[in-house]
Amino acid sequence: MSSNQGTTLQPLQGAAGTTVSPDHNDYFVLGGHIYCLSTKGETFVSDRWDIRLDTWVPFDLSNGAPHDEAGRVSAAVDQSSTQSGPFAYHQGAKDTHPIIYTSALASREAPLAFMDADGRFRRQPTHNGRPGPLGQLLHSAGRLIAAERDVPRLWASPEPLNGEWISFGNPDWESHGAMRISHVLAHQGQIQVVLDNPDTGFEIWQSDDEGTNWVPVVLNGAYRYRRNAFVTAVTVHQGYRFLAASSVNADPFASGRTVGFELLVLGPSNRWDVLIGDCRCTPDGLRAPLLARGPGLDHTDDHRVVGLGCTADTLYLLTTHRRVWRLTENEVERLSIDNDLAPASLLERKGSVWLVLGSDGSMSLQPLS
Amino acid sequence: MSQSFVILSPPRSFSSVACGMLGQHPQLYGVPELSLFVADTVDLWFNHHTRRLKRPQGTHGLLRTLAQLHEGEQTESSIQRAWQWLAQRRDWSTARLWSYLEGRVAPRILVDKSPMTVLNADFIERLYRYLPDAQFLHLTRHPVPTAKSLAEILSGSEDSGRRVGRDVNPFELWCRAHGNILDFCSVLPTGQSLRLRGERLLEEPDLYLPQICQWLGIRDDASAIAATKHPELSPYACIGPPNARLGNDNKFLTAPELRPARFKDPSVAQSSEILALEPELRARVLSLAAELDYVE
Repeated sequence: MSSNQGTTLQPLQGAAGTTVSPDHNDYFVLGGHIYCLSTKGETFVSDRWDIRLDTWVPFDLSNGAPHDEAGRVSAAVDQSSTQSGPFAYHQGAKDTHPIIYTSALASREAPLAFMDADGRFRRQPTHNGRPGPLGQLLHSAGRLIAAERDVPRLWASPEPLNGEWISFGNPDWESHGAMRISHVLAHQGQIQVVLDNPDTGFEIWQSDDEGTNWVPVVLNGAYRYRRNAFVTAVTVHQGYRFLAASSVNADPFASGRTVGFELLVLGPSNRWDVLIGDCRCTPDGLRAPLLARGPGLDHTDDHRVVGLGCTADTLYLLTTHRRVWRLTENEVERLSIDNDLAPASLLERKGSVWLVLGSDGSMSLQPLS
Repeated sequence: MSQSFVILSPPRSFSSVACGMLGQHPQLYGVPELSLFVADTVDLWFNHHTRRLKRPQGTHGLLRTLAQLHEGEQTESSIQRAWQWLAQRRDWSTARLWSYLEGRVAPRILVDKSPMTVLNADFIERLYRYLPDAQFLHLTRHPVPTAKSLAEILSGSEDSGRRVGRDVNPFELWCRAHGNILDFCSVLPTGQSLRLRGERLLEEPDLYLPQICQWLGIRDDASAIAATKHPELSPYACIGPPNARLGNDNKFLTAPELRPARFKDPSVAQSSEILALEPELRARVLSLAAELDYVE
């Protein structure tokens, strides 16, 4: 563990006692605790970060999913977490308690899994083979909303355990190059989806809670086009959505002229601004980076943000080159962590996370992809 | 606010009209193509244009600028005196000459666009060495119409005042110029360069001219923007006297007015001109077109 101006950074190997798979874990901050949900074989496992013990401790899911003081368990992942993920909590009309859902990527016939009363992992078949493999889940307005992993398509179901899903609007995103839905968000009672589009740049679309009226919020990678083809990380704080976008998704060593990532912010009214990145002309006016730092925080070799975390006044980001940055209103600071990790260790540590503890006790997590 | 403003683009990429427009802003001063950064001294600059390229038209822009700034007019005799003035300063560095011009137009900011600069990485490096604090506008145009227009220059069918090599493929030229500009801009601090599609500027000048002004830190009020929409009022927006006729794109000099424009980008991937290229060059064009946002 190393210290830098009151902030402690610690790499974690994954939740204690679990077999963490990159496709089956999620981290979120709730009620002053950090939770890690994961699957171990056929079982759901939850661990909670204990600040006093400085380690993960198992969290018993048999008493129900973690929830906030108001009992709003359904809000945990999509509003209070550091990122939305393949886990979601949902309570159907016939359910006596909220149920944890996740995706079962290996199964096309049963893309959804849930935690049964005995804590076991159960796959839920769907009718007509739809939807396909799932990449995103979100609870909203009494339904579970699911985004397919391989195509830009959304589904909704009030009672997922019945296996019945209906298409959730779905404009023809695919025909103009959108590849997949990378994130699903709830914003002011509406649903927003972030779409990867390697041809023209990422897009954000918004609909009412019925999915019947989709309108674009951000197009053409915020007018950085292909250089913002993918949104690699999102975090939400008090109505502000922070997005990291780049030309690179999974492969940090992609060929071609390298450009650094951008960090964008969408305000409550959906106006977008560049926090760090390129200055550019747009149909919406000139956009210059608010923090006067260029792409990749002036490092064009820093292709991608792999994690974002937010506290009340600070944004943390972790980049491909093992750099952690702390952004406040007037300051951009690189935190010194290079000595904590061997150069080759980043890509070997899938599933582990950076835990950032602020001097005020605030916490944030940056998963290592 | 920077003291220098340079438009970077290959030939035939709307840079003449863009420079003419922006040069009419009350805080800017647009000049013809000075092509100064091809050499370190005035003597070498002269030799480059007249002996190496054998294109004395390459000197017209600077001569017209000197005549206009010294005497307020461009006539055969004022151009002749500009030649004499220049001949007496053959040992000046081109950087010193640039500073001299800046001083003559101050407090307005000198605006230069010299497509020859971007065709050679050494020229761009010299430009940056001399003007490290300048702001650079990277102006782009779709590769297919650019190449068609460049072909007119390369075939020698047009009196352009430029020489870029008759054996050069116009798409190669387009790639070389934009590759050099992209490499250059990629190392500049954020905000020192701005890229804009020329088609957008001409289609919607009221939308994009104010943004360029904001980026430069100069006035973007209605009267300032109105002035920029009259490039034809520039003293350089016409054919010059017989001993310095050009100094800018011939098409601009004969029709400098800003006209309503609507461009329909041809498909890059389906372009017969691009499909006919050698595979390696075709791949470069397609990749660069995508990087410059010319995607279907």
